[in-house]
Amino acid sequence: MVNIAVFFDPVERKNKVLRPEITDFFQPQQIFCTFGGSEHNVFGLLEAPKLFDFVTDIHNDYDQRRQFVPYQLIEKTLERAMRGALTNLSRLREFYSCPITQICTPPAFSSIDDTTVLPTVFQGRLQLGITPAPIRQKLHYVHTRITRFHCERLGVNFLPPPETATDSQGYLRRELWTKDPTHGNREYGKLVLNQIMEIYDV
Amino acid sequence: MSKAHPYVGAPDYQIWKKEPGISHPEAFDPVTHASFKIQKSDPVVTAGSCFAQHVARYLSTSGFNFLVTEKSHPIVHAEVAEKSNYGTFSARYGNIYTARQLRQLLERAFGLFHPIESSWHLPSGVTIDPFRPQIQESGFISTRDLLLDREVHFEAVRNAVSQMSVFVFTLGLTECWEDSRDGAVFPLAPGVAGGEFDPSIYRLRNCNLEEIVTDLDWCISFIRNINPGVRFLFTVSPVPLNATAIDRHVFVSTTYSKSALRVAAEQICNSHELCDYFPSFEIITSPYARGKYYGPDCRSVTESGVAHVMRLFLKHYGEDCCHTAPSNYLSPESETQKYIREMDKVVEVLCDEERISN
Repeated sequence: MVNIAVFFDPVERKNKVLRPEITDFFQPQQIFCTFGGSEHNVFGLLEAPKLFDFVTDIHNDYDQRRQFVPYQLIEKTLERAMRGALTNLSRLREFYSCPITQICTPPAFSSIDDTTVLPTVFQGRLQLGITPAPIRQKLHYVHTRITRFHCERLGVNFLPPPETATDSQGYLRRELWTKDPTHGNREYGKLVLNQIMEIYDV
Repeated sequence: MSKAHPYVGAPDYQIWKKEPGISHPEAFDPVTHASFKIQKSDPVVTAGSCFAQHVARYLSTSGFNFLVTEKSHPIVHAEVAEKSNYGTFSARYGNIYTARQLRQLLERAFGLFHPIESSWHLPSGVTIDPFRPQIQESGFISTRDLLLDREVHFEAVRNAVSQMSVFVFTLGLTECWEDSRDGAVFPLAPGVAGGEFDPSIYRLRNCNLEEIVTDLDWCISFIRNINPGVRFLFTVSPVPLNATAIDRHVFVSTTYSKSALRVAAEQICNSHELCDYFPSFEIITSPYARGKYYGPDCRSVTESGVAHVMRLFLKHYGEDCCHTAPSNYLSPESETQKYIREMDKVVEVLCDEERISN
């Protein structure tokens, strides 16, 4: 029997950080966390009024009709937006000596379709449409790169999305999300749990 | 017997002992002839060495129309954009220390010069622009990233040239490092912030007076050929050399460098209409200041020194519109910034909502 703790951001996450008292309540042998994960969507889920695009070390395609943004500016801005999540990851590492694993946010979706029911918060905000998938995929890549970098720095394991969760182009398979394309559904959750059980023997 | 001689009736500013700065350093004002005024609507472009950054900073908050043709995308956080040198100058060219560097920037931006050296690569995989080695804190992620950004940058330089009414250029150095194969000059020696120093390729060039004048002359003619109405203001940076590559004391090299630049500016302004020399070098270095305008390192110019320079700049070149910077100046929120702020809320709500329902 292994004691596992699962951490995610508090509901009102702004300016909320984990406190050391948490160790009085939990003494797990393994920790899995999903801090943050949506920050890249702030920049690229819906089209910005002024269109943009960028390249990465592995993505060379760039849409010339959009304003070019140098990679480092995207990375630094996104990293700044992820500070809350990264702080909590750092504090968790500080409080616990057991293995910690940060679970990667689900991959970018390919496209919405007629069956998609977008959450109400999107209503009235879709005038400019959804950002093209390749750009959202690049933003997810940057998000992942930043998370992986900080995991390595902190001595935290990083769990990438399950290999079977993506299609041939690297997008989240349609059957693995339901109404909100930014989150995986139960089936996606099962894949992640299986992945955890296989890798970490829990 | 007549007491007439050439100095009788000369204005006080021509006579050393009548300078108010002797008793009141802050009253020192060596600006005597401004051949033009800068109107509120005049787009002003700035470039030059470190000291030019102070000029740009004041212009941008003093009611002048400080022209910025290379702006970061609004999704980029303001702090990140600032650290990446957006708005430091009119375009993201970084410090331009020499007249040769200015000339080559124009040549490169307008497709007249294609240097052999295009990018430098650090062992970490980071790509550096040899011509703007410190433009981004962490360099570029790939050669393609750099080249795409360079296209944007060159377009911004071309727009600055065609849109400006006034060009303020601060001359900083005479020493530069040159690629012996094609004459391309770099703002920093290869190896300092990128690249590898290969003495068979790179060599020191300490520009002489004739070369500086020729380069400045070329720049003025080139710019006015595209935009005939441009007025020029040249200054010489009072910041001493950080290092000299010549085997002699750094202050001796500083004296040569500033002297050559000062004389070049004099010659250029004497031979071109609507082309002034603004004595920021003199304001900072004069004995009237008693050395107080230099920081503890004897090199950095203090904020009070910069303020003195810019007060006189505004007094002599600014119209009534232009005043010292309001401390609470805030730029209006752009449509995209508003979008980012709203989306931040949307995504939070979205996450919380999904946790409950998924």
